[in-house]
Amino acid sequence: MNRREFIRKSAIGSLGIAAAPYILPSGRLFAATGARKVNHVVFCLFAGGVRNWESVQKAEGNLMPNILSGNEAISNDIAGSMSGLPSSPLSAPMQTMGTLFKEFRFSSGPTGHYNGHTTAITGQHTNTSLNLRANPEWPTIFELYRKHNSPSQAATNAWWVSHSNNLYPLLNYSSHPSYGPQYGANQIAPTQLFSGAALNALGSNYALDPDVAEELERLRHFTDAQFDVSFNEAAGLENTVEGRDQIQAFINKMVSEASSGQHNNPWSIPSGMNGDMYNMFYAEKVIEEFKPELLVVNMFGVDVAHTNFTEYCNNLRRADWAVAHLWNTIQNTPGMANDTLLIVAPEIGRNANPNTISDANGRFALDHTTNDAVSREIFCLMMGPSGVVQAGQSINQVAGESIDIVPTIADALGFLPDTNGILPGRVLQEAYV
Amino acid sequence: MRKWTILCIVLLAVSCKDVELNQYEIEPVNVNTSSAEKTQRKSDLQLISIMYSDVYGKAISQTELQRLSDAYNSFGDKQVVIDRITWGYLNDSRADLPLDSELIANPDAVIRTLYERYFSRVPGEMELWYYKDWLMENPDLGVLHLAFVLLTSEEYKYY
Repeated sequence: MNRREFIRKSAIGSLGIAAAPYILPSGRLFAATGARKVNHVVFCLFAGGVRNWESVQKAEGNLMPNILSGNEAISNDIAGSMSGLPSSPLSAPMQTMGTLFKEFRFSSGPTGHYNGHTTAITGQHTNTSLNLRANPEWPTIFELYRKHNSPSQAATNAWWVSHSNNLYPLLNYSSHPSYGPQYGANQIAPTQLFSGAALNALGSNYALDPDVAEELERLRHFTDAQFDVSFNEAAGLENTVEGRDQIQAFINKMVSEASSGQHNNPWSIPSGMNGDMYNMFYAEKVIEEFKPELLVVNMFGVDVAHTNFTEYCNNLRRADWAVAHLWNTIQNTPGMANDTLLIVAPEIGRNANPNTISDANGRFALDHTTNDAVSREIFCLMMGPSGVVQAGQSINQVAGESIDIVPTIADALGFLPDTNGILPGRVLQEAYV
Repeated sequence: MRKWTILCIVLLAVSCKDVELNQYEIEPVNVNTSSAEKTQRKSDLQLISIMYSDVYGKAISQTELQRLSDAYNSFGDKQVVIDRITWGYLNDSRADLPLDSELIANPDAVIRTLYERYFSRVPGEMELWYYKDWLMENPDLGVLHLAFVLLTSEEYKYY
């Protein structure tokens, strides 16, 4: 071995020794500082304002039999007004397969929907100064994931499936100077996008020949290069070219199916699917197509409680059934089955005292405007692979709050240490084996 | 007193004297906005309604605007939706576009027309050259594709 060869081999050897600790069994060169517990997280905001009295405390009987164990009879007047649902998509209540925090808390901030959502998605408390017309001040879980996860992931790996296109899309990314749209998720409001007039606006035939698409992209690249604008000045997030192609194909498929009637009650719900069920249906479509590492989906139907208590109970049952369907889909999706953490939690509770509006059963309606103790009481269910999440565990004392969900997700995906202490909450370690 | 009267008359005479001014003028031409002067991003509604006007040559109806806004507001990556809406517009038989035969006969004129219509400016020499070169390399592509690229470009989102 001559001198030159010796130096070359020594250099390669040294480089290998230096790099070896960073090469993971999965083949990833750079690891997030923490180890992953799972490779996918789905966070379902069981939102719209759910009081613990009607959910985990079963004051009207077990209105959530797909999530909660128990056969407590539903109050007669409420039961007589319930719409029919198919049998459970699951073989056993989800509570038996995961950890249920029965006394979770939305501990601080006004008990409004947007405050509750913002806290759940940013892991930060809010106050009355929260701007309802602007992106949140603190980074969302989507930005934390896309900025700190290593290797960084395309936007097609992070989805925010919102029940409406009003207000909630703002939770896609924050105005924080270190984060912003370049780290945002693919936000979609499918019940608006794939129905009614918007469906026609999308058109079903957006399909370019790959060669044509490449040439158009080349010309667009040139054209954009003549007009220099930095990313931060642009509105919204951006996908890669490949990501956009995949999304366009997905939209084509959804538009085609919806236009041909395939999305008319696809779950065969006897009384028809409500908005929550449709939002979950489309979240499942996203899961099946993109197998995202992070997906957040919300529901909202229970907010009918402002004017109709009985329908609130009815929508609790529908939401409960939809969550079970979601978990069933996750567990039947190759790549996500047995490798997904599911977190289910309402964003806020509802007032202890009713308002003056009564329904057909003489039940009085519920607001969530007083910030009282009951409106801060919520629950949280965590499901995951056996060996990761404790199965059949019920935590009955006060433990955990909504600001803990974001650090728990960050920890599960292995990037919590890289968030540099920006999150005030803690990891919900009680749920893990 | 007489001296003062004469002085005033002289001063008045001087002050009223016509002064010949040299006036320099240029021939009136259309001054187009350069891309550098566009700093304001169009709002979502502005973008949709202006594009509609540019493609169809008429104002958008409230119903159509609501229809498109619903789609636009329902997806985070706006480029995805803009691409679809624009493609739909341009493939509508009512779209007001130059003919491909005109593009073949006089590419300079058609490119200039599209630039002025959508960007409110004339193309630079390099832009003109690049577009013509691109057309020569892609003889199967035409006005529809040029219009699509311009309407979905970054510059179109600003005014």
